Amino acid sequence: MYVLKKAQRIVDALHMDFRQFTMPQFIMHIEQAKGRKILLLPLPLPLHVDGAWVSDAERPHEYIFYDSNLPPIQQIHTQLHEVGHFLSGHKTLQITSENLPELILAVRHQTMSSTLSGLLMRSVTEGNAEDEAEAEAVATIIQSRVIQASRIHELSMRSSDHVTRFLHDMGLS
Amino acid sequence: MVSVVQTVIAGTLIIWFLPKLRHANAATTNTWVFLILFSIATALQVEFIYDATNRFFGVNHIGWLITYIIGAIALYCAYKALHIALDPVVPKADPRLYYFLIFIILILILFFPAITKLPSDIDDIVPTNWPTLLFVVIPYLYGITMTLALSRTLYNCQGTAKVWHLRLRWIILSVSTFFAALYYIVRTPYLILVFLRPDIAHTPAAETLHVLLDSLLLTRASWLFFFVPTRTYEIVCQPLVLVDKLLTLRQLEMLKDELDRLMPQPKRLDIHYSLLEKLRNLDFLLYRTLISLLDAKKALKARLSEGTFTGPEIETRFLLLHDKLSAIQDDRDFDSLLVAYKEIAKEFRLQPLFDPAS
Repeated sequence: MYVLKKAQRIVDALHMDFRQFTMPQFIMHIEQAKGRKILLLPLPLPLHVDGAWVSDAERPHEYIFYDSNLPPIQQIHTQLHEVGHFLSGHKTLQITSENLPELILAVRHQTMSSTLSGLLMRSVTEGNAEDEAEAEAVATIIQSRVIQASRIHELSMRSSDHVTRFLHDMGLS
Repeated sequence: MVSVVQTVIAGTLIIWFLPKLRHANAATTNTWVFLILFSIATALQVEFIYDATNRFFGVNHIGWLITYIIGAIALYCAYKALHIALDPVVPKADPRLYYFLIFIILILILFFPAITKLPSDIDDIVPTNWPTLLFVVIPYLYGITMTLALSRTLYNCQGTAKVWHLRLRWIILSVSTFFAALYYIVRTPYLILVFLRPDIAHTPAAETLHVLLDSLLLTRASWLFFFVPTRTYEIVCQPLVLVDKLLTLRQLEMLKDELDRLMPQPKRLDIHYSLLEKLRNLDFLLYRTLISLLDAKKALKARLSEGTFTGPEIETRFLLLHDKLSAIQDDRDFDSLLVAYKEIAKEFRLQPLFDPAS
């Protein structure tokens, strides 16, 4: 439960109004709070990896990779989990603007022989269990706040129910 | 009295919808046209408006003809609106109904010369001659066709509705449409019977039937509940939603436990809730369980691709489960995903894929 309490403190410190939650707006809020630009990058990742977070050693940028093959609901979950690592102040791979394209290409083509992508994948798959639990706890607290604010649709794909849209158009929703 | 109430409600709805029409889609526009026409049709049934209309045109009972024609078009617009809302791939309503509508209007216009011969009591007509009988029965036949077609459409609507309040809305509309259809279905042979055998109109059975028809007339007016705002439906459905979510959670957890037992996963964060806390956080728990299931599904796929099985029997079982889970399209909204995984969980419970002893 300590992990959850710590995660609560981290999320509270953001002073986010979850009644207005959308994923882009939340990311923007963190960027302003932390003074770092967060870039969400969809990539086809290996089956045993959902996402990864990499920090830029030169510029105030954080790169969050997530598996583009995941369904939308899991993509958002993965993004929040990786954001959880960042907010918890965990250690991660530091890269430069020079080797970012190399990393993306290596991950995209799954050429794990590349030193950088090899390092990234090792840091993801052999990640510290304590760090993983903390990141998951932060994601959980964020999700819980979003759902309490009746914004669950922002954590998954929007409904495409024609009937619901019809009622909405008629002002009945 | 029913006509007055319906006219007032329909009129209020028109005023309410007016600002929304600027951004309306085809379904909404058709609904709005239906409301306008319906309110005019019901307004014409109000006695003093009916008399005023007759005086204005200088033709006795012309109000009837106008009511019928406008009512027929209104019903068609309602059907079309729901048809578009339900199946936007087919933008037009069934053309046969359109031809039927034209046929009805033509028949009614052809009756124009006989209109002055119709009886004056608009609430309790008993046909005494052939023109009167046909004048009454033909629009009723149209009513039967349209309301039955509408009932089918509405039934499909409630079948596709994933949330309880939406389902209840469609059920109410289906039921009121069904009562409307029943009214026409019972009244049509009754009128024919009374026309052929006027003496039975005063028998106790006929009088009982008359009371029944009057109640059906009142019940079919319940369609107006369709326009009640969603929040009201949500409040009414609250207990149902709660039970449904609890059952869904239980089923999804059973599926998750089964998957965990077969293929142990690194645990996501485990939070233990009391029943009260569970009730307060049902959406959250459903969401987390769903995420766990999706994780397990991905892990299962990875295991299959790696081929790390202990024997051919286990492999077959994994494949079977994988096939079932793979059949679910995961790029859907939260409610649809819940429904889909709940179905698998149910199937799983009824037909266990794995023998715990093996």
